[in-house]
Amino acid sequence: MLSVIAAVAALNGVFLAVGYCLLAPALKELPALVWTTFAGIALLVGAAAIGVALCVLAALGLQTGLRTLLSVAGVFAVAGGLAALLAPQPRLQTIRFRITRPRRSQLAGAVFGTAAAMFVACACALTVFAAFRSSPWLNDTYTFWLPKGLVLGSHGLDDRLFTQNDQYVGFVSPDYPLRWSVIGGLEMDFVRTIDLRAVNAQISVLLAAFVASVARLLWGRVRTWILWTALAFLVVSAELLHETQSGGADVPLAVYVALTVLASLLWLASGEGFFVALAGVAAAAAANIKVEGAPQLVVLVVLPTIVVWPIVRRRGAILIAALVAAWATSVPWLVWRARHDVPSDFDLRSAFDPGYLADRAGRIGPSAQAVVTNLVGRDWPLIVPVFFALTILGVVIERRALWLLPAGVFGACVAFWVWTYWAGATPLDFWLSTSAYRVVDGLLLATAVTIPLMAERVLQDLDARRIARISGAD
Amino acid sequence: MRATRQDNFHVARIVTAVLVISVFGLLASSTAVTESVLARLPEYAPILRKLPRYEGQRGDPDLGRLQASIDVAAIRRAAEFVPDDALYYVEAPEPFAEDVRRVAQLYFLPAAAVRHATDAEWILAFRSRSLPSGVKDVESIALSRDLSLIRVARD
Repeated sequence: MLSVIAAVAALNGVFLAVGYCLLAPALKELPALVWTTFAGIALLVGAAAIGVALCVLAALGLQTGLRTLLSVAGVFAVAGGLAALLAPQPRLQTIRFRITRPRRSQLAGAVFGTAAAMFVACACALTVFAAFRSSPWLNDTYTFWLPKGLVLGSHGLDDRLFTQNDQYVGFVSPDYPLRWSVIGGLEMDFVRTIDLRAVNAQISVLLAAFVASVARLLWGRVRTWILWTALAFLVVSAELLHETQSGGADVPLAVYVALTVLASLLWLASGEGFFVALAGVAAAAAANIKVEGAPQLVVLVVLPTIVVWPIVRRRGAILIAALVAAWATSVPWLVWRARHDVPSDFDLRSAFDPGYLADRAGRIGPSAQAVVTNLVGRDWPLIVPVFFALTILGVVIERRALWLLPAGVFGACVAFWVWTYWAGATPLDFWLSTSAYRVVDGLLLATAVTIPLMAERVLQDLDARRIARISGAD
Repeated sequence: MRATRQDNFHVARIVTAVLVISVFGLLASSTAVTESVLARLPEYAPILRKLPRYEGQRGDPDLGRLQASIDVAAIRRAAEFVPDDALYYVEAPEPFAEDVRRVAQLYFLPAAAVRHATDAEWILAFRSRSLPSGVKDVESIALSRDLSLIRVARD
C-alpha cells in the first residue's frame, strides 16, 4: 500500500509542479498563500497538459513511459517559467478575484458556509482514502484501459494489439483515445508493479482537485455559503463517489468537461484571458480521454455560445477557436487510427441516416428512460432538482428568456445521449445497463458547477428588488 | 465593537469546523456509527466500508462473480516465466475464457496473445486437461489447482 501512496503522490507531484509552471505567467507576483489556493487547478492543468502531450507523442510513434514523462514535464516547466519571465505586467491583474467578506447580517451564512466547506473537505478526504483501498469494479479498467497504458509505456502503439487482426488478440475498444490509458500506465511505472488501486486513487485525486478548482474559480464571485453548499450537493452524490472506485475514464472525463464548461462561462462573463486558456486546456484533455468528450462539449459549450452570439460575439469567437485548437490535439491519434483501419464502435454515417434511424425508432423510448432515470435517480439526488428549481426561480423573477438557456442545454445533452443509444449498433439492453449510469457524469458535473452561478444571480436579483422596495418606501 | 463582531465570526466558524470534523472523525473511527449510518444510507457503502476499521481490497482485478474461481496470484506467477517478446495462447472453458484471457493479458504484457495455439510459444491452461491440437508439450509448470503454464512447440 505504501508503494501505491508514494506512486500516486509522485505522479501527482509532477502534475502539480508542471501545472504551477504553466500557471506561473498568470500567478506571478501574487502572494504565496494565494498560490496554494490554485493547487487544484494546477494539478488538473498539469495532468491535462502532460496527458495530451503524451497522447500526441504516442500517435507519432514514441513510448509514453517515465523518460518521456520527465522530458515532457521538463519542457512544460521551462516553457512556463520563460513565459512567466516574459509575461507583460497587465496580464497579472486578470485573476485577482475579489474576496467576499461577511456582512453583519451574514453570520448564519458564514456558519452554514463553514459547515458546508468542512463537509465537502471531509467527504473528499474519505473518498480519497477509500479509493486507495479499493480495486476497480469496472472490468474496462483491466481489460483495456490499463493494458493499453502498459504497452504504450514500454513499446508505444504496438500494431499487433491496437488493431484488429486474425493473428493476435487485440485490445477491446481499440478506437478509444489514449489519455486515460497513458496515465494508468504511468501510475504502474511509479508503483513498479501492477496494483490497480493506484488507478482508483488517481480518479479520487482528480475529483478532489476538481472540487478545489471549482471553489477557487468561483471564490469571490458567488457567496461562500452558496459555493460550498453547491459543492456539497456534488459530493453527496453516491454514484459519483462509487465511480471513483470504478477505475474507468468516466469521472476523469466528467471533471474536464465540467471544468471546460465553468471556465467557458467565466470567460464569456468576464473576458479574463486566463479562463479561455483554462477552457482550452481542459477541452483538450476531455477530447483525449473518451470519444464522447468533444461532442459533449459541442453541445454544452459551442451550442449555447452560438445561441447567445449577439451578446458574446468576440469572446464567443475566441472561445470556439480555443476549443477547436484544443480538439486539434487529437488529430494525430485520429490519423493513426485511419492509417491502421481501426474501426469505430459508432458509425457516424448511419447515425445521420434518416432511414436507418427510422428503422430503429424503438430504441428511443428505453434510451430516454434510462438516461433520465440515471440523471434524477436516488444516487444523484440533488443536482438536477436544484438546477431546475433555480431555472424556474430565475424565469419567474427576471422574466427573461435567457434563463431558459441552461435548461435548454441540459435538454440538448440528454437528446445527444438518447441519439447516441438510438443510432448505435450495440444491443440496447446490454449497452444501457452497462453505460447509461456513467455517461451522464459529464452532464451532471457541468450542471453542478452552474448551480452556484445561477443561485448567486437569483439572490442578487432578490437583493436588488429588496433595496428598490426600501428605497421606494423611503 | 467591530472587532468583537469579527471575533464572533471567527469563533463561530472554528466551532462549526470542529463540530463537522468531529462528526466525520467519529464516522471514520467507530464501526457502530458507520453501520448505523449505512443502515439508513446503504448507497454510501462503497466509501464507508473502506474506512480504517474495514478490510481494504488488494490491487488485483476485481473479477466479481468469478473472483473465487480464477486465481489471479497464479496468473501473476505465470507472468514471471513468459518473456516480454513471447507469443502465448489462453486455453479456458466458458464462462471463464474471456476473463482469464484479459487478466493474463494484463500481467503478460508486453508479450502478445495469439488467436491460434499453433502460433504460440506458451499456453496458459485453465481447467484444461489436454493441449490444443497442433502443439506439443516442452515444459509444464503447475501454477495452481486449475492453472498451468506450458511451453510448447509445433507438433
